[in-house]
Amino acid sequence: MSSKETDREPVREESRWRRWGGYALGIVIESAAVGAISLAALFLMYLIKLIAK
Amino acid sequence: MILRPTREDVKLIGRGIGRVILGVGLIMAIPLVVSILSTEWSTVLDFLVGISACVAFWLVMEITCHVKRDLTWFHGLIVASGGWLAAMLFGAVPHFLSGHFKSYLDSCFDLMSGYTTTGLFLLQDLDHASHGLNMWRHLLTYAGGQGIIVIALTFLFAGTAGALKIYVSEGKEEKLLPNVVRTARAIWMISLTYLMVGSLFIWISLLREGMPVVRGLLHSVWLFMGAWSTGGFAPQSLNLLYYHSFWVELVTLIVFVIGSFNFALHYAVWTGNRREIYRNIEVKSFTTTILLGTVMLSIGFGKFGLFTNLGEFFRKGFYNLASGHTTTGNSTVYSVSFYREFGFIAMWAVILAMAIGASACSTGGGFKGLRMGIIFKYLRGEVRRLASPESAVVSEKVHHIQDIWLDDPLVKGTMFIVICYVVIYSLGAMLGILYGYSPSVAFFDAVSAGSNTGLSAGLTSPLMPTLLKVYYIFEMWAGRLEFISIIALFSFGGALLRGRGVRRKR
Repeated sequence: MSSKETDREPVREESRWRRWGGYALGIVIESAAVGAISLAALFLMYLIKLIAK
Repeated sequence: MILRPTREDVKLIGRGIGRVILGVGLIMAIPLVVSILSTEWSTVLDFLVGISACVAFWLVMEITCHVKRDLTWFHGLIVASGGWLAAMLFGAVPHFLSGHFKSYLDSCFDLMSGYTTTGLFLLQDLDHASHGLNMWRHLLTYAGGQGIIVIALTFLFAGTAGALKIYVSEGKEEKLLPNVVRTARAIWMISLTYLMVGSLFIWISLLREGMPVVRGLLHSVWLFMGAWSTGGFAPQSLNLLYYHSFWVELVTLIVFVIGSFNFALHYAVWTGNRREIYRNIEVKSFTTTILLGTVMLSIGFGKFGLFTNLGEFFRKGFYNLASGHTTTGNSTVYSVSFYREFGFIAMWAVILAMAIGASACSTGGGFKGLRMGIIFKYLRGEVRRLASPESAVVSEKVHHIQDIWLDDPLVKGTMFIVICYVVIYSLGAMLGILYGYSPSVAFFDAVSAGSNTGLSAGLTSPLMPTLLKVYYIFEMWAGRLEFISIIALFSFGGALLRGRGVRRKR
């Protein structure tokens, strides 16, 4: 059945490059989140060390 | 009234378990190829025997359990829990034949530890294990992380309506895509993409440390599999301590923290919903609890004057805390250090982190961040309700991909699972104490087994009492499947023995 018959817009396929680019960006964002959490933990440790002195 | 299962029910379950075991046999083909390439002929034979046993079992089940009906929810639960037990028994064949184990029970312990991504092991002389055996250990933890049932769904149950039932029964409630088989395939796509990227970075780090190219490649793949699946296996008995490499530790830390995230979160972030990374309740919950753990750890270390510079704190303290919190089990210290060096406060920081665990629908175990978020929000709602006028309507929600409003059934279900975890942790600890271990050590290893972490304070060894080995196997299995399917399996067993027969209309 064509899209005309069903009166719907045809679904536009995302290009492969665009899709894998999205995945790569996802990996970068998730890694950055882990980095941010680790840095926050290090900062806390530093603060506690300072207070304990 | 418990109804006695019919012959057809038993056949349906038998067929399902047979297919899961076929999946196990198919996975064994990969270590078989590695053994052939490494010319380890004795190991080749071990895997050929293992594969033959799996295929033979599947054939017997297909022939004797031929039925046309599809699985119901109850069958799904039994196939999931029974399938894991059968997978343990059949998967342990190459382990036992390798000669690295004291008994078949020890092989089964390692298998269950691998499948459930725990990481505790009773294998002896790990440093001289064959490439094939190492590939099998790491592959089964990688496969177990995605879920044995997910594997079976991907290849063997395609198109059957019963697929959803066994998928959910394995403790994975979320569907990334409308179709459960496509969900299983999406989980594999994410894991395989990370396998390539993560292994590459670990390989570069190992080459930088001077490891030979091929050995470095094998170690990088194995380390990745252990870290990503939050299993914590490593090809050396000293685990990450063997490498003495900051870069290997940094990459594995990133890999296992990302690996502990929910697959639905990965999928959302990868497909354009980038804001989910800081809005998601599980990321918020993990960040909060790991920072609280860091405070406890810093106070504990400060008290005993341990790991005083930031580099040491990061590599010996935070790394192991994060490894425990994500239920990974990779470690940069000796097992006994948790008990002899960390001190009471720091050791309990790691125990609590392990108990809380990773995200729901991830490769990790423990209470899960989602449940911690739900309980916290519920308690906050209760406090707000007390402080508000009687006529006020107070409702709480959590954000996980979408907003979820908290209602009584959701909170009760959450509390039930958390209580089950507390019970298995406590029973394991009490058993350890009864055998004469110190309370902290007994709690450490019992929580580690129940939350599928794999860190050990020195209790877990081939010389530990047999009853503890059996209980830890149960803990790992129950903790991974999150109890419901285990309870269903016990009810099924009870119904077979004592249930009332049902008269069927002809």
